[in-house]
Amino acid sequence: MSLSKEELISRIEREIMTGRGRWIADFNESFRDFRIKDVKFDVFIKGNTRMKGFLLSRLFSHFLNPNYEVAFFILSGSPEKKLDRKRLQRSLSSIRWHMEQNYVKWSWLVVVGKEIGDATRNAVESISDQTVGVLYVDSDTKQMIHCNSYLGRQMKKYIKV
Amino acid sequence: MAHLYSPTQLSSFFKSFFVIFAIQAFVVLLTPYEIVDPIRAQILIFNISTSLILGWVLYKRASHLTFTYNENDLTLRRGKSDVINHRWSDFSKVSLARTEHGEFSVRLYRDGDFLEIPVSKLKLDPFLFRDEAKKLIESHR
Repeated sequence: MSLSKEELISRIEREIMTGRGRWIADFNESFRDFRIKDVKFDVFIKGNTRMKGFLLSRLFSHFLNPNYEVAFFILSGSPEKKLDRKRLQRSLSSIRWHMEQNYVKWSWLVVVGKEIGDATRNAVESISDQTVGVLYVDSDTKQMIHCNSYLGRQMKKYIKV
Repeated sequence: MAHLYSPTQLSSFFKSFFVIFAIQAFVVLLTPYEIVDPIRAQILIFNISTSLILGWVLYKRASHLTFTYNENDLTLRRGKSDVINHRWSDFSKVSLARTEHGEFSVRLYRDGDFLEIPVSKLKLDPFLFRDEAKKLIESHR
């Protein structure tokens, strides 16, 4: 079944807040159309790596999980606004600025677009920042490419489109 | 068009029921055994039925949630006395928050502060209501 871009974004947001995303962090507050500097992200979700829970799981989490603030962003591409290195770098620099301002340790960026061209593939795969995981999702073919950071590779496992 | 949401929140009702039942059980514990022993079953039935009635009254007075909204304003009422009334234009930003118990609420932000609408307790779809609240806030800008 083919999903529209908006449906796909909503599905990823739900998945991160209530589904598999909870294996990564406790993502607990989501904003739509969130603007950081001159970039408007379709979704921004705040979270923390220290899970809440009841008794044992809370205790386990307290002693074993790091207490890191994390953030998750979704950005949609369009035929007019194709994702190339320049656009990706602008988005990432906004994310890094937000991370610095809010003491966020790790971030993920999911870009939902159409067609994975060479420019897109090169832009995503050339990211070397280990504190940001980038994933590109083709909304038509459901194909995904990710950056080579650990966070990017992990995210691919937890997003189902 | 006005929308009204006022479902019964069973967990809140159960808490009220339990408070009343615990008070009555404590009174029974303090009563001499010779008085209680011949009528134990009757006391239990009496306690449960009065806890149901008084628990319902307490729940309605203290914690029953009623949420109404239209294109211009919203009202959130908790129990009989706690009423919060706002216009959508009072807010500038909206978010969807999840508590550690897995319940959702929609946060309406203004001047760094926020009003929390407990959408899960009101049996509203959190994602759909968040989108609707966002549209209503944006329509008043």
